Amino acid sequence: MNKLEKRAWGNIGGIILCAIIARPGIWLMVIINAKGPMVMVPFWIGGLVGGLVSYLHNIKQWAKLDEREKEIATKANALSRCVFVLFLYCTSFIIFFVIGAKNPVPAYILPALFLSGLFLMVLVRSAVILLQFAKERHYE
Amino acid sequence: MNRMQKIAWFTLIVVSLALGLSVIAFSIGYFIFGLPAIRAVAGFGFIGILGLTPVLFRKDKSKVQFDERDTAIQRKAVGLSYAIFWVLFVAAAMIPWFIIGPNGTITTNYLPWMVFGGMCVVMLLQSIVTLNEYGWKTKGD
Repeated sequence: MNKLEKRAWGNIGGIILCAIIARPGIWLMVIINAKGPMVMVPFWIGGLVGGLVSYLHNIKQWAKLDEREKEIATKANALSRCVFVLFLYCTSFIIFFVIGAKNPVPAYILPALFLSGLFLMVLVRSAVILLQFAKERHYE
Repeated sequence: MNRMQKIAWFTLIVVSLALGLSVIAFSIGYFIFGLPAIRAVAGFGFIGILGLTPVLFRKDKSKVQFDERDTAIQRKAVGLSYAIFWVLFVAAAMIPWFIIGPNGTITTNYLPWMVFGGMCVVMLLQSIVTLNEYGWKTKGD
């Protein structure tokens, strides 16, 4: 198993763990009806630090990959991006047409949409990487 | 100027024109005539012209259209535009939630507008990055 495959398995495990943790987190925020700019501060700090660490880690990891692995990773990225955009378009317009243009929807639908999109994106990306390597091994 | 550059220029002009028309319509309609602000977004309908891109910029099968440099430029443009889209998308998804509160409500109009705004940002940035990478001026190749 190479680095990219290990990372793909790690991503699948990580995103499932995040989904398990995020569910009671969102539920708790709905229960306490958390709102206002002060709630946003830890979220933004967490998001920015997490994003920066992940970005720097990705740059370091990318340099260690060979040409073939880079090609597979790029393909997986493009496909996961397409799936995410399609998911976003479909859910937004389905909600819009089913509920009606002027009717209200709960505000927690927005983070739910974002988190499920993120979950789907990571899952598709990892699945594509694993499938590509499995296919290569099958033909070897 | 290659096909990618032509498409990038076309996209940039159409999206900028749509934004410009909406801003002008908003300024005149809302502030001078007191019309509802939502009507100004009709200017965005102009973006539909982008559907003509495959017809206007047909692929010339006799020539090589896309080399490795073009692929690298396209990847960079897509990567950068989606990186910025992600930041804006997270902000658009989380800020209303924190301002209104999880028990508050938003109108369903917000969802397609969020997607549509994201699409405009991606198209605009992709065109700008593509043109910037090739160079804004034609070098006669």
